[in-house]
Amino acid sequence: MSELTEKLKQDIIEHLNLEDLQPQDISDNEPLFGGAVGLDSIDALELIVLLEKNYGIRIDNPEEGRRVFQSVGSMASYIEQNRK
Amino acid sequence: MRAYISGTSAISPQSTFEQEQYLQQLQVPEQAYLAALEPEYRQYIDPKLSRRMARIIKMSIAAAKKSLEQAGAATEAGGTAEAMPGAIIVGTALGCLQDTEKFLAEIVETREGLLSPTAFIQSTHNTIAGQIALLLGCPHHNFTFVQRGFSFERALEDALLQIGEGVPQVLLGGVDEVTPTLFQILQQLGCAEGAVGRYPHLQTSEQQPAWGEGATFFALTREPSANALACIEGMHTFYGAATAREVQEQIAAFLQHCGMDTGAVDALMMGFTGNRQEDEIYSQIAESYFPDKPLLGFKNLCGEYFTASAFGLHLAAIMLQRQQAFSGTLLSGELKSPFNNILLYNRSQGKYHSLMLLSS
Repeated sequence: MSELTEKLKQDIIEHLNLEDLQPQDISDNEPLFGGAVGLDSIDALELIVLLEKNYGIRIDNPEEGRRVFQSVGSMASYIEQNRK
Repeated sequence: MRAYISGTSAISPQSTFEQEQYLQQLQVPEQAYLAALEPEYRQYIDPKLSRRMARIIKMSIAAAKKSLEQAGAATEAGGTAEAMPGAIIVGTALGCLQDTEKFLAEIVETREGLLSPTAFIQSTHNTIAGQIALLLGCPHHNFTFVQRGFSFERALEDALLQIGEGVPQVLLGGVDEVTPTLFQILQQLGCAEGAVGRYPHLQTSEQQPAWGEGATFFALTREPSANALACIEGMHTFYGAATAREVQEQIAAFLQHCGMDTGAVDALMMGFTGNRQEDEIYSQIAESYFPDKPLLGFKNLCGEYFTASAFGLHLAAIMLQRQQAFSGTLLSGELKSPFNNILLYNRSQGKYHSLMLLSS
C-alpha cells in the first residue's frame, strides 16, 4: 500500500505539473482539495483521467469521485479495491 | 489615427526581453528553427497558475506584464481603474499549438476516449488574451484576431480604433509559437528550411526561410507619456501578388495619408528572410525608390512567422528610442542619429503586405 501511495503522489505531481511539491510534502490523509495541496475542479477532471490512464480505473459517478479524491490514501484504497 | 508606444517587450529568439542585455550578443540557432529565449517565469507568474500554462501563454504573460510595467500600468489584479488597460487585443495566426497538438494526439491515442481537460481548455486561440485578462482582473474589451499573415495587423487596427474612440490605454500583442511538428509540416510543404548555419546574419540563397516564434507586446496610449518610445503614425495593409511598382504606389499613398513623402523617410525596415525569391521585392523597392536610405532587417533575428511584423514594430520602436541600430539589423547604408521615423514594410507568404510608420 505504501508503495502505491508513493507512486500515486509522484503520478499526481507529474500529471498536474505541481513543480513546487515533492512526494514527501503530501501526507497520505491530507485533503487534496481546499488544503495545502490546493487542487481545484479542473484538477479533479485530471485525476479522473490519471486513474483511467495509469491504473485502468474508470469513475463515472461524480459522488463516488468526491469520496475517492479526498486524499492520496483514499485514492490508493480505491485503486486497491478496483484494480483488475 | 495615431497611438503612442509607452511600453514594449518581446520574448524572441534573441536576447530582447532583458533591457540591459538587449541584442548585445546575437544568438546562433542550434536547432532547425529559431526558438525563443525564455526567461525565468517565476517573477512574472505564480507557479500555481503557470503549471497549466503552455509556453506560448507564459511567454505572452511575461511580455505583456513587462510592457505594462514600462508604461506604469497595472500588472496584477486589484489595480486602479486608471491603471487598467481599456482593451486587451492579441493577434495570433496559429494560437496555442503545443496544447492543440497534445489534445489532438490524445484523441488518437485514447481512440476518442477520456481526454485531459487542460490541453483542451488552453488550446483555443483566445486563451492568451483571456489569461492576461484574468491575471490583471481586466473586464474590458478582449479580442483575439486570427487572420493568417494579417493577424497582428488586424489586432493593431482594432487597437488604433479603440484609441481613436477614446480608450486611454490598450495592451496589444502579436504571438505565435513553433513546435517540432509544425516545423516538420512546414518543411514538407516546402515553406521552411533549417536555420543552422544561416541565421542570424542574413545570407541570401535559394533556401526557404527559417521559421521562428515570439511573443511581442505593446502598451499603447492615446496620449504621449513620459515613457513613450515612439508614435505609430499609421498602418496600412493590402493583399495579393504585387510588383515592386504596385507596392511603391501603396507606400506613396500611405505616406501621403500620414502627411509625409518618400524623401522624408529616415530608414526603411523590411522583412528580408534570406530567401532570394521572397526578398527580391524588398531589394527592388529599396534600390528603386529608397536608394539612399538605411535599410534595416528583423526576420534574420526572429525568423519567419505569421506575426513577425509585431517584432519588427517592437525593434523599430526600440531603435527610435535608443537612436541606434543593433548588431545584425543594419543591412545597408548608415543610420545616422538623429533619425525621426522608420517605415516598416512586411510581406507574409508573398500576399499579406503591411506598412507601418513609426516616429520618435
